Parts: sequence; C-alpha cells; structure tokens
Amino acid sequence: MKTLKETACGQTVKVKRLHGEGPVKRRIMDMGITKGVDVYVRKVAPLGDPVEVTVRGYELSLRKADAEMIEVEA
Amino acid sequence: MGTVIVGIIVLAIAGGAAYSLHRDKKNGKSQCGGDCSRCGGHCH
Amino acid sequence: MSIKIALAGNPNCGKTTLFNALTGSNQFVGNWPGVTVEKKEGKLKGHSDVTIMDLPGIYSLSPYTLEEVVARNYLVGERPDAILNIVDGTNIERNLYLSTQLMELGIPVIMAVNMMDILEKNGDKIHLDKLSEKLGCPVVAISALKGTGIKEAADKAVDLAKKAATVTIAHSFADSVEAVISAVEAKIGSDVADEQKRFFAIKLIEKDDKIKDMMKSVPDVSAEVQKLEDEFDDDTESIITNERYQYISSIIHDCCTKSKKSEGGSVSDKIDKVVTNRWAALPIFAAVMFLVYYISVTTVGSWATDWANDGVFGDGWHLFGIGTSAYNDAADEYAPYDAEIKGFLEAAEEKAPDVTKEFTEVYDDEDAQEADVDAAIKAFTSNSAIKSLTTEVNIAGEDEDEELVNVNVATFETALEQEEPDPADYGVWVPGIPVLIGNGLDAIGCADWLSGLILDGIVAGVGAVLGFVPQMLVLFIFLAFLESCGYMARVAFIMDRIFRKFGLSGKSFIPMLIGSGCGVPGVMASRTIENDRDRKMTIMTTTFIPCGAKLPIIALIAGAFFDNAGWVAWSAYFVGIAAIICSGIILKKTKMFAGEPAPFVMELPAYHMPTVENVLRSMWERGWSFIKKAGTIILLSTIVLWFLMNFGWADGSFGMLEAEQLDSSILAAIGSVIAPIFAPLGWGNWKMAVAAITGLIAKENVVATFGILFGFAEVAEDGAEIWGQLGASIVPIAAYGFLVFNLLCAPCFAAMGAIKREMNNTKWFWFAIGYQTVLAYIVAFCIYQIGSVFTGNIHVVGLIIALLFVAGFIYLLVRPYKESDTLKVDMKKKAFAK
Repeated sequence: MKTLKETACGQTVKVKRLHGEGPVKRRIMDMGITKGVDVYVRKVAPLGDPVEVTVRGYELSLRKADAEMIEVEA
Repeated sequence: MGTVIVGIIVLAIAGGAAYSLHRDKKNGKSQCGGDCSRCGGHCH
Repeated sequence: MSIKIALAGNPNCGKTTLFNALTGSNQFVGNWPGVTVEKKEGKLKGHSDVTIMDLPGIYSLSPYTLEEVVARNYLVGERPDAILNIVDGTNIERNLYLSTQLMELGIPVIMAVNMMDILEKNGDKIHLDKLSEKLGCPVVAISALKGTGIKEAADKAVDLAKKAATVTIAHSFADSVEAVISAVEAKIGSDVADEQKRFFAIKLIEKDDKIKDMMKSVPDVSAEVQKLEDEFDDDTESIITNERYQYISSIIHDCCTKSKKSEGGSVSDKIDKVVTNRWAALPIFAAVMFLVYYISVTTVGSWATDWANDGVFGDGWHLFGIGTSAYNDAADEYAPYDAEIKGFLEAAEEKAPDVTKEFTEVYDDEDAQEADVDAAIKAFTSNSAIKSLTTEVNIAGEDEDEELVNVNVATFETALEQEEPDPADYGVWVPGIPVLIGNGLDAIGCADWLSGLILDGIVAGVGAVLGFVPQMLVLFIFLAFLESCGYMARVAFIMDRIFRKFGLSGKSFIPMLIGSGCGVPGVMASRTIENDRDRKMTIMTTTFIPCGAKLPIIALIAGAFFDNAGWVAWSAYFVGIAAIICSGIILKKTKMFAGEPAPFVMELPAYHMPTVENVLRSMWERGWSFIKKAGTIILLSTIVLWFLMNFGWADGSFGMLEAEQLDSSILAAIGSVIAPIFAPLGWGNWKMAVAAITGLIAKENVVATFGILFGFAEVAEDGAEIWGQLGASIVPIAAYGFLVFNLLCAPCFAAMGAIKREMNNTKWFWFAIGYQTVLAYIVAFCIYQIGSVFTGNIHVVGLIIALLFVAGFIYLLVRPYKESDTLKVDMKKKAFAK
C-alpha cells in the first residue's frame, strides 16, 4: 500500500482512500483531499516534515504522519 | 510663583496620561498599537 | 424589522476586511459565551436596521473545532435572515466546500467571490453566471481590499433577507446518497424546521456527535448509515465529503477557466526552493534573525542610542554633525593640558589630601563664581606643599606616542589657564533636552524639588526609554517586512518538525512571531489553535519571545556590560525560542498536557513584495504605541518612583532626602526587602530588584528605572555616565542572568491581562504566571552560578544546586512519555440552548 508519505517530491498521485478516523481525517478531507483527487508533492521541509502539496489548485502543508493516512496510486 | 506654574503643568501632563490610559482601557485598545476589534491576532 | 446577516467563509478569504468595510467603526467585539472565540457584530453602514455578524473563519461545519461549532450553532439557532458567503476566488474549490454546507441550512445565501483582481492578474477566469446557475444562489464579484463590489453585495444580501424566499437547493449528490438523505429527513420530527431538515439529516448520517444537542428527539438512523457504508465501503463522513467534492469538481469545469501558467515556475517557488531547503533553511533563518538584530541593535542601534542618550537627553549634540570635527580638533589640542591637570591633582591628593580636596570642591563646582575659583586656585598654588610638588604625567602625543612630561606648579597653572573647549561653541549645537528644560525651569524660578522631579525623575526615566526609539523603529521595519512578504509563514513550516517533536504544531509558532512585536496580540493569536491543551501551552510560552518592550532592556545590557556586542541581542531571541521549545517538551510529558499533536494543515500564501506603505505603516503603528506608552504608563511610573526615591527615613526622621541618601529612601527600603531573593542570581542589590519589579507594569520600565536610579547617582558621584554606573554595579554574567530573568518572567500587566482572558480560567492564569517566573528564576540562577565558574568566582553551594537543576532539567527533557490518542473538544452545551 503506497501512501502519500512515500511519495517523492515532484510526483503527482491520485488519492485512493483515506485511512484513520476522527478529527484529523476529517480535517484532511475538509481541505480537499478526497478519493480520486490529484495531489502533487511540491516539497518536503527540512528535517523531512511536513510535506507541502498542491491539491485542488492551492498549497497545503501536511505532516508526514497525516500523509501516512492517505493511500495513493500513481 | 514659577513653581506653581510648573507644578500645575506637571499635574496636567500626569493627569492627561492617566486619563488616556483609562480611556484606552475602556475602548479595549491594547498595547500593540491597533485596536483589538480589528486584530484577529494577525498583526501582519 | 431588524435584519441579521451572517458573514461566513474560510479563514484568510478576506472576511474581516469585508466586515470592516461594511460596518466601519460601528463594530462590537466580544466573545461567544463560554468560549474564547471572538464574536464580532456590527451595523451595516447606511442601514440602521441591519446587523452583520462576522462568523469565525471555518473550513467546514464539522463538529471538531470550537470555531466551527460556534458558527453552526449560531446559524442553526439564531437563524440569520441571509448569509453572505465570502469565497476566495484563487482557491475556489475548497471554498465551495463550505458553501455547499451553508446552502443546506435553508437560509438564503449570496456568494461574494473575493480576490477577483488577483485572479485576473493570473489570467484565470470564473464565470459567475454559470456558477450562480449551478449553485442556485446569486453570485457577485468583489475585491474586499480594493473596496469594489462590496456595496452591491451588501445590498443584494439585504434584498435577499427581506424577500425571505424559500431556498431551493441546487446541488445534489449521487442518487443512492440522496435517497438515504430523504429517508432520514422523513424521520426527523417537527422540532426541526423544514428548510433545515436536510442539514440535520446529513449531519446525522455523518454521525456528527454534536448535532444531537440541537434536536429534541433524535431518530435512529443506524440502518441507513449501515446501508451507505456497505455500499461505498467507507465511513459515512468520508462518503458525504467525497460527494461534495465530486459535485464541486463537476461544476468547476464549466465555471472556471484556468490559464496555462506553469506549475513550478513562479517566483514564490523559486524563493522557496532555497529558503525551505532541507539543510539550508534553519541556518538561513538563524542568519536572517542575526542580521536583523545586528543591524537594528548593534550598528544603527548603538549609534542612535548614543546620540539619544548622550545627546538629545544628555548635554547636547551637533546638528547634522556640523562642528563636531572642529570641536574634536580643539578637544585634541586641549587634551594634554587636561592630562597635566589631572595628573598633578592626583599627585597632590597623595601629598596633601585636605588642601587638594578644598581646591577640587570649588574647582569642580559648576555653579561656583569665577572670582571664587580664581581665589581657590591662588590659595592652592601658594600652599607650600603644593608649590614644591612635581610629578610626571603620561601624555599621548600627536603620533599616539606617550611621553613622560614633567609637571610642576607652574605648568599646572598654565594648564589651568587654557580654556576647555565647549562643544557648544562649534558649529550648530543643539542643547540636550535636560539642559533646555533645566534652563527653562531656572529661568522661571521653579523650586528645586520640583525641578528634581522633572529632570531627575520624568526626563531621566522617560528619556532613557525614548532613547531606544530609533532602534525599535529599525527593528520594526525589518520585522514588518519579513512578515508581510510571507517569509514568516515559511518559518512556521520549517519549525513544525522541531515543534512536533515536543507535541506542538508549527501553528504555535505564529503567536511567537507576533509576540516579537508585542506579547498581547501574540497571546491572542493562540486562538487559531484548536486543541485546547496546545492552546494553553502556547499561551503560556508566547511571552518568552522578546517583545518590543524588552528590546531596550536587551540593548541596555548589551551596551552597559558587553560593549554592544551583536551576539547579546540575537542570543536573547534564541533563549526565548529555546525556552518555548524546552517548556513544550517538558510540559508535554506531564499528564496535564499530554495529547496528540494537532494536525498541521496550513496554507502557505505566495510570497509577495510588501508595499513600502504597508511596511512603514506597520512600523509606525508599533513605534507610535511604544512612544505613547512612554508618555503615559512610564511617565506615571517615573513620578511615583521619584517620590519613593526622594523620601525616606534619614537622620532619624522622615522627609525629603539629599542625593547621597538614596539608600535611605522608601524605595530602597522596599527594594532591600525584595533584593535578597535575587542574591543567588548575582544581582541582589535593591536597585536591580526594584527595576525588575517595575518591569511588571511595562517592560520598558526596567530601563526607565535604571535611568532614574543611576542617573540620580550621577549627581552624588563624580559625573560618571549613567550606564557606566550600571556597568559597575554587578558583574557581566549576573547582568546576562538579569536579562534572561526579565525576558522569561511574567510579562507586563497588559500581557498578563491577555493571558487571563485567553485562559478564561483563574487557576490556569496563575499557573502560567507562576511557571514563567519560576523558570526565569531557575535559569537566571543557573546562568549566574555556572557562568561564575568561568569568571573565577565560584560559590560552592550555589554551584551544586545549579548543577542539580540542570540535571533535573535534562531529565525532564529526555524522559519517555506516552501520547494519548483522542482529540477532545469541550464546549459548554448550555451556551446555545434553544
């Protein structure tokens, strides 16, 4: 299972499914990361965390731990 | 005589300062220079 | 008939700007009852019967954050007549996500698309008419910043409200989902208005745990939920969210045209590539802050402060430097004579101390009459012991060589006859303020004590603080620039990893940033943190960052003890950050604060070149408030202090004191009681203790107090510089400890008030204050005790205790801990009982 956490910088992936539950998951969804949406990984911060992505036309910062919940396909 | 004049001036300035502080407190003006109603906590 | 219109939208979409534009100054700001979420309402300009309620910025109407719950409780409970939904045009998909939810409430919605100007610049287009058709609500374009379109938007909103038409919802989800929604709607009782049924139905399906509080009878929808979850193989919350976004995607295609601008090539991205680079980002940040503080405090700063302290608030200065070089030349010519005089007097004091003292008393007295001085010289030089005195004095020659010169009575007399150059005679001399005021007071015949109050009290104190204004302005310019160009948001991004290690999110960094200007808005900025515990922790630690008012203290210590070295100011900033981080680590490991770190989901705005106007305005706003503070709080404090300093018990009775009797004053008495507490920190004298205490009123007071206390002593002792006096009173390492103490201990009253308000709980408030002060004490203690080892001044007991503290500190930092898993949002339910 490939998640957003393992996605390299510069790649675009499609969200397959969201794992986890509760407020964190809801928050991620609220921000636009839902099934079938394209996510482009712009950069990874120093020290590896958080990750900056482009989704639905704007930039978002996500923790690697949160990115782990987002299952993706290429 | 000079003392009295100067004394009154000093009292006036001090009084003005105190009054200004009191009024700011009532209006909710904080020390940051703006007023809290417009703040939103994002001074920049 | 009064109309209520609610403003709703994402954070950072321009809502507040619009609110301000619509209501002008007719605003009222408070808090929603029971929570620390700001409640803003105001009257629409030009319509006395229309109230506008600015709801907190929210991304959705979920039950997870305070802001969201507050907003939806208002919308459902208070039923405004219309909703003005502000949508950020540059971010439209995510903004529409909220819009669809708003429209389900059954309240008429008008959508205002903001930032249209930016859209046009980028070459993107939004077809408002198509959007309006698809969403089923009127859509207008506005630019809140420029002010275009807002009146039309407001008027339309008022119209809508007045018409009170029933709302038809244009958006719809997949058929099976719609079917379930209808089924649930049917089950909902009559306590929910018809037009609201859809909203409630969807929330029930999403298993929203707070919606039940708003319903009288809650139907059982588990069957329907199960059906959907089976069908979609996902939980209902995700299903509904997905449906929304699917719907939005489907209409976006028709309604928006994006230009073909490239993805990764914008200027912002290029800058970011460097600035947030994995390895370079932190050093770059450290370097940037060092540069900022170096320029403002050490270079421009010390130059400006010297001018201010010795010039404007001292004897005087040359306008634009006219006359300075001429004066310097004259002074250089005079220097050898001066050295001869001093050298001779030194020798004379050893040989015939009494005679010499008699002479110097008259010679040094500024008010002495010329005839008296001449007589004194004659008496001195005709004295037998003096007459035969010769000594050798080192005089620096023109080429910096020192030569030994023989000085006897004759040489002495010749030297005395040389006129010491008065800088006022050269070029354009502007007398210092104390000189001017002093002359004025003398001329008007003001009594001595009142002159004293004004010159030694008010002017000395306020002047000391105002002397730092130039430095502050330079610093403020830098900070304003960094913040408005967007760099600081990047820093939050960078710091997030570090912060997360100890359980705070990068979001906690923003209050710190704001706190570097003033702690009050910094503390208030903690409202953006949803997690209650994180928020409390942020509130407690935000004031560790040196605020604008602490800057004079830093500069003062740097100047008086460390020769204005650049590292002092910069280290103060990082001590603050370190204190915040360490506090976070330690506290997160206690049961009180343990918990899952808040999700760090943050938007990064594009970089943009701040306008000169904005930067200057920001600088001026802060600068002016600083000056105003000096003229009010500090002014009053100096008056009080002066009285406390000049009255006391001397010679057995209570009354006004002479300059040398400072140690008998009331202030000294109070100070001496407190001072011993600080003795282990290396500054147990009453003056420093008093200064630290006055800092509670306003941090600048520390400087003002020093100005009075040590400037006052100038009269009693030999005209040595104020800061020189300060420099002599304690050792540098203790001074640094003093600095750290003032940086970390409880902030000023205004900030304490903010903390109290944000904590909304007296117990927590005292805990915060106590924590800060105790931490400050311990750290200053350790700095002094351990630092003293390096200066050769070891106190055994103190050192042992300090080492124990450090050991304990390290233990608290590294011990293992277990995180808990749930995120709890607590809110008083009775606040919105229908």
